[in-house]
Amino acid sequence: MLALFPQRWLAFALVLPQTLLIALFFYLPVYLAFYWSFTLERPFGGGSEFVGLQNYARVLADPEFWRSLRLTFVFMVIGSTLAIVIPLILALAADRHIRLSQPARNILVWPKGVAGASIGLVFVFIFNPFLGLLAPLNAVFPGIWNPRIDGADAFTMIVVAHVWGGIPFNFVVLLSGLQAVPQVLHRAAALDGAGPWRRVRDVQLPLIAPQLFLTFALEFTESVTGAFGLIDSMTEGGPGGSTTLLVYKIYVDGFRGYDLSGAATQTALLMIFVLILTAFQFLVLERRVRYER
Amino acid sequence: MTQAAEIALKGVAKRFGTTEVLPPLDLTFTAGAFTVILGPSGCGKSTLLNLIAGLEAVSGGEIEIGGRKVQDLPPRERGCAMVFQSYALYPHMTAGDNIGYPLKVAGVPRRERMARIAEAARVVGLGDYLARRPSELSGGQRQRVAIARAIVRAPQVMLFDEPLSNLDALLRHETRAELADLHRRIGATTVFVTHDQAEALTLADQIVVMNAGRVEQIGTPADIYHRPATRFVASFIGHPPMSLIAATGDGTWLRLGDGTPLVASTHKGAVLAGVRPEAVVLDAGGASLVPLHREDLGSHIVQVFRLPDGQKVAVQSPAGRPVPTDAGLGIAEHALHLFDAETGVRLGS
Amino acid sequence: MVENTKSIDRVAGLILALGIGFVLLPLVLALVTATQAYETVLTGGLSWLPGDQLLVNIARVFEETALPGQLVNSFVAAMLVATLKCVFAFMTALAIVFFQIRWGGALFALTLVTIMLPLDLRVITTYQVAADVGMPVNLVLDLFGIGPLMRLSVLDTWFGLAAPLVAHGTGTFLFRQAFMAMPRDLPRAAVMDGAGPVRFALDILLPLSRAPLIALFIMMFLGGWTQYLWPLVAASRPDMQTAVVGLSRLANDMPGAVPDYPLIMAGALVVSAIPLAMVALLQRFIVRGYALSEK
Repeated sequence: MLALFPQRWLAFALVLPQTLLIALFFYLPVYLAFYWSFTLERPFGGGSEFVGLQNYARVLADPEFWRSLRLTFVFMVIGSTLAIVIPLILALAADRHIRLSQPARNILVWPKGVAGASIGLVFVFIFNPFLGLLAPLNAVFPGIWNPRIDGADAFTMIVVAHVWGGIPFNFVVLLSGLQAVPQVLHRAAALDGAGPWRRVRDVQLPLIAPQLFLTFALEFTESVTGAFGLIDSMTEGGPGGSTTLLVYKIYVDGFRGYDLSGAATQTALLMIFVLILTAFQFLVLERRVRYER
Repeated sequence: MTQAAEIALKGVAKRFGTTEVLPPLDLTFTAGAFTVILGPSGCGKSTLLNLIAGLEAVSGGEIEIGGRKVQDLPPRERGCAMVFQSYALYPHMTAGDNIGYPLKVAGVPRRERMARIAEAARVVGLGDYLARRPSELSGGQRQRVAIARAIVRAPQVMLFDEPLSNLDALLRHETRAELADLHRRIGATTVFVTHDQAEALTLADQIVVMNAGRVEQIGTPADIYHRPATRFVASFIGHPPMSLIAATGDGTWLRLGDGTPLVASTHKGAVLAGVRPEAVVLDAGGASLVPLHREDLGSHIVQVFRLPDGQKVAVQSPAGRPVPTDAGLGIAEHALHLFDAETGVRLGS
Repeated sequence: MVENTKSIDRVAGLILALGIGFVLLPLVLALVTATQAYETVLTGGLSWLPGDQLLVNIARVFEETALPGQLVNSFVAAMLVATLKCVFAFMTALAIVFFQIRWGGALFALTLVTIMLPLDLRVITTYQVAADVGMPVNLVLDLFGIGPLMRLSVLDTWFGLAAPLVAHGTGTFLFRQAFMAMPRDLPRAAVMDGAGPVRFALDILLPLSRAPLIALFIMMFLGGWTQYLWPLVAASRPDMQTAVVGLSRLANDMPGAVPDYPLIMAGALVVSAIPLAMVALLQRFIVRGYALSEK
């Protein structure tokens, strides 16, 4: 900090607008989620009553909650992994400076301009069992693909759309990491007898560990929360709840079921889940990826 | 011509938390004088400059500029201008806009501003570069812009923070002469911070030598060179540096650790005997010398010897006249500097 | 590259072609489908051959749906998000980096926490706050036994669509990074030249922050435009909903077994046209913004 200007009142005025918004629309809602998780909240402002851990007992005894949490976790692992591995492979290819590198660097950022809820509609059509791309397959093996009936198909469809939307950020960040690897290291490794594949493993991946860490850290949170638009536009949580991730279940419970206390309790639990995940990443993983370049 | 102002520091101190960067300090910078603050990096000389400028707040004491107490005033009300080591030119403005920025902030009308920019540019010898951006200027030109920006407001005090260290050796030498000339014409009280003794010795009316936050000596370049007040000043100034030899006085001789007499002296007890390499005279009867290594610097030769007790001494001789290697050490009394072995403070006159 | 590796480059080319194909596939299929008539899709299913109904379908989007008005909402909300975010984040980072304040570090930490818990996660309670933004005051009044003053709701307003998205720390983080990366002597020189904080911010800091400013603005505009869950709950009236929400409602409310896919795809194109064009044309600013957020 440079601490050049002594005008404290002006500094206060400068931070006021954003800090007010953050207090009102971030800290107050976070506080309310925890507060309501200990009360029975009636919809439409009908008053509230302190109930201790009853809400938690109710939520934790609900198999639907555990299934949503499990689905969230599975989606996080599969979705994040694919949403990073695929851009990583593309970035390794683009880093070779071939003819397609330039167009790829432009086009692969396009998904950033399309809302998840919009591309979800397009994928629903593409994956439509009777009209879509896989319709011919269904004609030969009836019923082999039907995301409206088969939960695994529906889940797959959302993962594909999620990966599509995750390409821009992960590709750009990983590619910029790869481009920062000094050419001289490639030459040194080549002189040491390492072939191109070996260099990927021994030189490039270790050196972009900070970028990999960043993409994973952000992708985890994104996969837990960002899938809402896809679910709502593609499956509405179905079939039979097989794509009801926790973030969607909270919405349904709160806005359709008017169970504010239940939704707040699940919100509190999901926030704790995300915070633990983030803390784990920063305390355990991050220490291993710091290099002096 | 500017109105030069005296700067007086009274008990000025600076602490960061519990770390004392500058212990309380009294110091006067004569109006119109060119004072160089000289010291190794981290000695607190830049902090001192920032305190005068107002870029850092004092932790105690008073600063007076031209008789005005300024320690609580913001920088712009102190009448100081500063040239930074990195020049700190605004990259998005042309050279002319850079020079004129202090006037623009002060609300000087455009016409007058243009005239004063042109005048400042003329004074520093900046040719037709006013329309260029800093990125299109050479290092030397950038520095001229920075100096023009400092003088355009006709400040009472000019502060320089190692302004020559980013220039190459040749340009640095040239600019040194120009700065001295500029100071004569402008007349502002100048405080110049550097770690380069050659800059200090050539530019200064007065040198303040600092080390580890303390002032070691204040004096003219000649004082500093010929009568260093402390062991630190003795070893910091001069190239090659003064040889400092630990010895013990018995009332008639200063003797080395092994008892060899070094030089006649009435001093008693442990001392550091200093002698500049160019002041050593060779005397076959003196302490015997074992030659170690030799540096031929073209204009002169520096020969390092080992004394009988293992300490080293450097001897300088003119080019083409290498020191005989079988010589003994002789030190004329007027060339001998004595420092207290404990405190490092100069002994005697 | 180091050695002559034609075969590897060929594999890399194939990978990139597949990647580009994967990204373009849904966009191209949406475009092709938007050129066809409902009946064609109903009987023939998905087709790769363009039809001649594109203009008809797009005209229907503008005539038969609420999307035109919703596009305005999207635009206003996204502009509000981007503008407020840039201005407020700039101001906050300015205070944190350049002022003598003891609470700067703590405030910065509290601001960064917002990045960990996105809006979608806390939508239930944020909705309650938006329905009663005087809540903090009312909570205090309640302590003294005074009834609530009034309920001021920002739901179904442009401000309500934008404000919770502005309550986020990315911009502050980005500007702080940019300010700290600037040469230290520059602000000091400005102070010596007599500039106060406001002059320094406008004359020196703002022009030198152009790149992060543009990058942040574009990213926030895109984020505001493509947001889904918040506008879904924050606007209940169709005339206040954003286009992305409107399009999704349109598809969900479609009667019949097979929705009018050509209309929906045309709608998807219309809704995505502005942000997609921004991404394709201003791509380097987005890349730059990503690079900044990484440090």
